[in-house]
Amino acid sequence: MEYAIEVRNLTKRYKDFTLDDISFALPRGTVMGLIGENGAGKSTLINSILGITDSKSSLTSMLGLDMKTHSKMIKEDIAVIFNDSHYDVNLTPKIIGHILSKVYKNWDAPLFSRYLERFSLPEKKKIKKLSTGMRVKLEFAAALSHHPKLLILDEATSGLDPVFRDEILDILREFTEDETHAVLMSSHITSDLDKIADYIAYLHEGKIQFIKTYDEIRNDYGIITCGQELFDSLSRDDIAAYKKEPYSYRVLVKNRAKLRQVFHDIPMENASVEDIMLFYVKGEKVK
Amino acid sequence: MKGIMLKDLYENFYIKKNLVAYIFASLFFIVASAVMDTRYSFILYTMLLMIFFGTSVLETSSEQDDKAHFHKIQFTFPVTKAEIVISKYLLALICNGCWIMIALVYVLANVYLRPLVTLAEALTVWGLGICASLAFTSLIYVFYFLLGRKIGTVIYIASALILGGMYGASTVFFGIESYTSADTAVRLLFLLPASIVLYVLSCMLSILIYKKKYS
Repeated sequence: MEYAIEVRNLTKRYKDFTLDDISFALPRGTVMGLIGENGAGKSTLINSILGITDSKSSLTSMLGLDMKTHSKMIKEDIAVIFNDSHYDVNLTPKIIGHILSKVYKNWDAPLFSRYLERFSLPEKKKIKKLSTGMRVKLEFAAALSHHPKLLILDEATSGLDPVFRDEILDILREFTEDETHAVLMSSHITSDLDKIADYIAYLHEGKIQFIKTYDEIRNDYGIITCGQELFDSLSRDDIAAYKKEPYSYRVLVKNRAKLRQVFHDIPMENASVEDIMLFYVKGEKVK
Repeated sequence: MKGIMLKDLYENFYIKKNLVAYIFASLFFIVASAVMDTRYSFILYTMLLMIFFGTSVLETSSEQDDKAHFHKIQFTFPVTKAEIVISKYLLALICNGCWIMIALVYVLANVYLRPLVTLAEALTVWGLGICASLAFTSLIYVFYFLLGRKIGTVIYIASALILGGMYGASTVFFGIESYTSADTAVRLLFLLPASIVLYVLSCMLSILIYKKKYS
């Protein structure tokens, strides 16, 4: 399988935080959602992959090329979008297009103009006069106009209203229609990932807790509300985390089909990505 | 690299407040040089033109970059960290070059329009200005990369004041002729290559600092 991103044993140490031995692969033609609470290491991971901060790894490859030796070539084919514009607010979309035409070899000025038109972005309006949503749209227009093969979004949709977010998700769907493209998207807004992600990577305190396909998450995870007796009878291997409530337990189970065979009539809710994240962060682990 | 240089140019000359600052400084210079027509002021203005105008490019663009956190997006561009630093030095060189040419017009005007100095004297002062502008840029840029914009700006202003003071003191102790003498013209043969070497060394040091800072 061809990977858009392949990372092996990536470690980045700070005084008070360590991104610990991260390994994952993002196949082309797919979207991976990177989730985790604030400070879990999502941005550090993205910065490390991009070589913005130095890190140690046995392999960091993007679009089939080693990042250590081909970083410039790789960056011609990737685009990174943050949750706000990082250009001076006195500049205009037209000027940004002019600047980026000198940055990227395959900059497509007519395509950029089409995106500005599509997003209703006036090309001569200063960034400071654009709303937050419009600024993010400008980031998308700028990012997509050099024909990238890989999009990396670092909390790009946070701060946007649901209508804007939905529009952005449409753009991402369009982008991944091409099988050679891929998206790595870190987000707090797990409902966005529910709509678009093929894979979910969950990062907690600098460690990858799991990487699963969205279907696996839907099929494997479930939430049971039960009493002490049932809780005790559950296999510890099947419990991902649990929360003790006044008269019951809420249990996130990770082997839904197997449990269903043993406990036929037990009520089991579907677990959303957000549920899973909350259980891992706030719930307790069985010993 | 071209993209980063172009962005810096836009930040310097497209953003109104920065453009106004340049226009204001230029007008001040024109008025001041028209009013004061002594050999002392001629040397001072020639140096001012070359030393401070060229160096201000980085000061202005780093102020804008700090506000917008531009470095975050810049690192995603297909440029290395070394190229980012080199682009700043190249742009400074281009801007210094422009101001050096403007200064040449100014010194020639002082030779032919209002005969204040001889051509040899004017060119000697102009040559000294080139060396001083390269040396000053070399010094200030290292501080900018090492200590950041705020402290860099403080050092920029402090250095400007110190240089002004040194110029005043030197005319008292060594005389104004020390800037225009034939000996000084000969010394330029060593000073010019030395200032170029200093500029290259400064660029290399800034690359190391920048890499370390963003590692």
